[in-house]
Amino acid sequence: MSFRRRGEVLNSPSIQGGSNPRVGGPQAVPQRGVLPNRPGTHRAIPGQQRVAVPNPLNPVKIGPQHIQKPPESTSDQYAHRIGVMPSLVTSEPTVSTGCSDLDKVLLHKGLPIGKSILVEETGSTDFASVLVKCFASQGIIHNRISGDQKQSHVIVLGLPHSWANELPGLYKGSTKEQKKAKIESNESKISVDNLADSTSARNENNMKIAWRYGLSKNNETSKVTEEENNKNYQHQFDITSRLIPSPSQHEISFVPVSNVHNFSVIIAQLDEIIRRQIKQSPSIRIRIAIPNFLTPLLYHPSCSSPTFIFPFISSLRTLLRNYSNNLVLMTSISSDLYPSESLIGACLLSLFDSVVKLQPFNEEMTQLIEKAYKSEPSKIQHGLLHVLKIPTLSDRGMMMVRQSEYAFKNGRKKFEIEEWSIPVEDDANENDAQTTKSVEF
Amino acid sequence: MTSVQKHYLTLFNDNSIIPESVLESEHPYLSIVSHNIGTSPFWLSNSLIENGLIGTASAINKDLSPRSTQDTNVVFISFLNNEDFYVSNSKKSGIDLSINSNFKFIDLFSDLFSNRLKDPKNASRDVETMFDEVKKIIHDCQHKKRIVFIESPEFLLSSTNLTPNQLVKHLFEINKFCNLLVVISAQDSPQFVNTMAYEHSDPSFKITDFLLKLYHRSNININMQPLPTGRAKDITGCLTVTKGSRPFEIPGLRVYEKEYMYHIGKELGIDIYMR
Amino acid sequence: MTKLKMSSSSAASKCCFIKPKKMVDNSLILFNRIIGLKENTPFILILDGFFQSSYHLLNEIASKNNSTKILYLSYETLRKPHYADFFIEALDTPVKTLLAKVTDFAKPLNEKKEKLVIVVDSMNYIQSEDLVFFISNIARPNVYLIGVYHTDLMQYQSPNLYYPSEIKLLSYIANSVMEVSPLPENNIDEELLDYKFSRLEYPVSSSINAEKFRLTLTSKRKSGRCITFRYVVDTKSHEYQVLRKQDEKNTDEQELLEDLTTFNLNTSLKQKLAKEQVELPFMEAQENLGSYGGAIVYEFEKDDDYDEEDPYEDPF
Repeated sequence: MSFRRRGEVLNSPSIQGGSNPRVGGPQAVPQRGVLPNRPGTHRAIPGQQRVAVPNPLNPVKIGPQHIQKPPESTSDQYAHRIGVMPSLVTSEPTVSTGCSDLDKVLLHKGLPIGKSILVEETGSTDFASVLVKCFASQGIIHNRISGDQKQSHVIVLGLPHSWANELPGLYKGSTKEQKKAKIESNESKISVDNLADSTSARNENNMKIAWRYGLSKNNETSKVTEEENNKNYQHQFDITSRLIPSPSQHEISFVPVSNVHNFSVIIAQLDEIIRRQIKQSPSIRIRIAIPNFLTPLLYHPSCSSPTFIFPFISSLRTLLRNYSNNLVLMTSISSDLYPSESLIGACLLSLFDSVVKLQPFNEEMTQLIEKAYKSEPSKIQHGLLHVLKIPTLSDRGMMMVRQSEYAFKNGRKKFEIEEWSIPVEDDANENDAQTTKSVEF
Repeated sequence: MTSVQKHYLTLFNDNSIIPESVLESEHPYLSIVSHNIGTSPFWLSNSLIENGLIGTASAINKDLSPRSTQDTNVVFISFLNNEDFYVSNSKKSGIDLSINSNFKFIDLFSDLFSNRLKDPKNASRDVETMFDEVKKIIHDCQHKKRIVFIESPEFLLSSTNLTPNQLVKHLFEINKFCNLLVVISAQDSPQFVNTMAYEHSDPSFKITDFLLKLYHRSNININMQPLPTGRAKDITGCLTVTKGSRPFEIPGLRVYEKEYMYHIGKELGIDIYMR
Repeated sequence: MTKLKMSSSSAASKCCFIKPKKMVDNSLILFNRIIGLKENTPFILILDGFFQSSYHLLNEIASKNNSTKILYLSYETLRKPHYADFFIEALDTPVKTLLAKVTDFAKPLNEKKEKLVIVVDSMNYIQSEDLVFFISNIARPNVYLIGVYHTDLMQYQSPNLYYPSEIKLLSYIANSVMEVSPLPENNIDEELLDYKFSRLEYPVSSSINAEKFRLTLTSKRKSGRCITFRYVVDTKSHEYQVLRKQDEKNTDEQELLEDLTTFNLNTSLKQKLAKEQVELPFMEAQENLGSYGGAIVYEFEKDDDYDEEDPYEDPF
């Protein structure tokens, strides 16, 4: 469930109609249309997302295989909170980190609300920032799904406002698929003109499908809500694209850290933003992103002192606990500057709820892997991912450390994490394969 | 693994976890529960709390019977977690801490830096005020038998300018008000414990000094750490029980020194094996 | 930092039987006289460590001096020990105030010419600059100071750069120094203890912090001589045995080789010395290579047979 097929619809602004029963007016009619003859449709029409007008043209697939029957209480609990699902292991409300594979590695299918994750990275690479950007983008996408109530807010610590323009947009499929999608969107534009006429027809159509799947109209709504929540839970991001339109100040806040020597100033600012957001919308999820924590480019040298770092992180932990229904935190830090074998690393490990460490391959290893996967360049991994701590489970005393069990690779369409196995150099097989091929010819 | 027998955990030769004689003794005793960050002692502290409050420890020893009178106060002081963490997870292990009037939680985590220690660089005075408050709470406990847990006191050493001697002093003073003080401390080496450290202001120097001073007067030590060989599916870690520098001054009572392996299941079920 | 010294030899207790009886008696008498406070030793320093606490030794000394008044200066003990007559909590008290308190107890006894033992449970808590002041001011006729010092605590560098370290200072001042360490046991060697100590962990062993331990006594005589004896002290049965330094290494080997054959397999001291001085060839090779100790050094020579086909035969 946590993997998305390429063909799956990623963003569907039409949810506003069905999923949120409080939305009145013209949305009273179910807006979902099933277009089974349109495989691989992708629609993230910029600009329309935040508008509360329903868009019946964005199709949502209803697949019976997706429909689960959760206990009544959970569906109520999660129905109005887009992008929140119960954790797979502890049933805590959980949000996606913006990277489906990381969600899987964390076992909860994401980060439980009220918890924090630290991404450490060795070497001079900056893969961790990709994760932090996806984390932020995911928050903004969640917010754009529904314009009715503010769903999500992102707070970025330390970086300038221009960082918002660097956030990745949704993955729209391969170039081929994108072309297809364009044609389809053109087609659907034509049908916009006929919207008024087709509404009743679409409704009927909808009923047919419901009938076909044995769904009565009454309980359809709740099930569909669940299903849509599934769909809106995690998205796939294309790191070469940009989030369009770029996040506004209603969606993302920036808290500066330069020239700040006192941690309490930062905490006070964060607290103020959080309070304001929660006042506006009590069920809001706020994502705090701290990319490149403690980087000397942004932070004053005095911030490297334990009397800054630990009180600061401890205060962040306090914020997370105090707003345990709203807050999640992702931080990245360079292990070269602050090694995990040092006191700072250990203290961070004890203060964060989950910690993963990225260890990009060195040059030799990279060459070896490139050689091994000569024929399949898509398989080339970029480094190892070590899991040091898992939210909730580690705190309960379970042993969650997994050293060198996962490898990661960062591609255009997603940041992938898979089980690590040492690649085998099979030159001989390759030759064999070639000969058999030539024989067939 | 069929031949390996599950064991019930006992800490003393009289098959108890926290003996009644310790709680009745005049002497204040000290226990150190040390662990690595990878092996949180949450389950053990929960069992110790349960044993202290009602005499049982359902997760680790089913042989123990509840005490006839519940006349022990348990105070839990934490620098890393809030009350909710312990109380909400306690129900699973058989005792509901939220309704037990003999249990007190002192939260030194939630407002530690926002209220109590506003200036970590110059915190000695504030720390003293904070511990005075703690001592008062312990002192005002209803029952004479008292067990105090303190989780991660060493965090004060790494996050403020507090010296090891000052912290030792506060802990000793707390110890005076209770029969048993259990200090729960992370002891990862070389991050926290580094006997080769030489810089006085280096937190690892301070933490090592602090722990060594505690060890010189502890009565029972429990150490938990992951397997040296790494993660295993059926073993979470090793647990070692050893006597401390000073014996219990109770005739006939000895620490049952042993090494165990333990495993924590999904629903917090704990299996303990002899090593 | 002073680490515990522990020999890997076993059967420590056997040693005493090998030595002539007279020697044993002399050193035992000295030990008995010192812990019975019958020698003129105004300051006895007890050195203990992570694996062997001085707790049992203090109890033993106290039980030997039943009738003597004992003043316990406590830095880390919370309740008055059963043997102490007076108890002063010293933690966080300035040395001057402390000395005044001590004097209050000591003066009346002093006037009556009565003996007083002052036990300091850990001198580590006294700042190194104050140590000499503290000791010299506490000293008076008929007062015996027994100071415990933990050798393995972290060392604070004095602000005066060349001021001697605390342990050196105390050993210099003390009239007798007793160092306690656990008895060696089969499954535990020095390397393991060093490793365990570096992580502040205890191995499971009956010899750690036990009632029976090893004690090294260094006593400074009036003549200026300084003598060292080793003992095995059992505080449970109150038995002491002597352990002599040379014995530890030799007994093992000698015992093993005795009666095996009709040949003499033992080495004399002279032979041993000669053996140790032989320089082995690989030592030199290692020096050439710098720090690669233990590495297999192979240099290719023209007569060596090298098979290029064999993948396992790669000298480089």
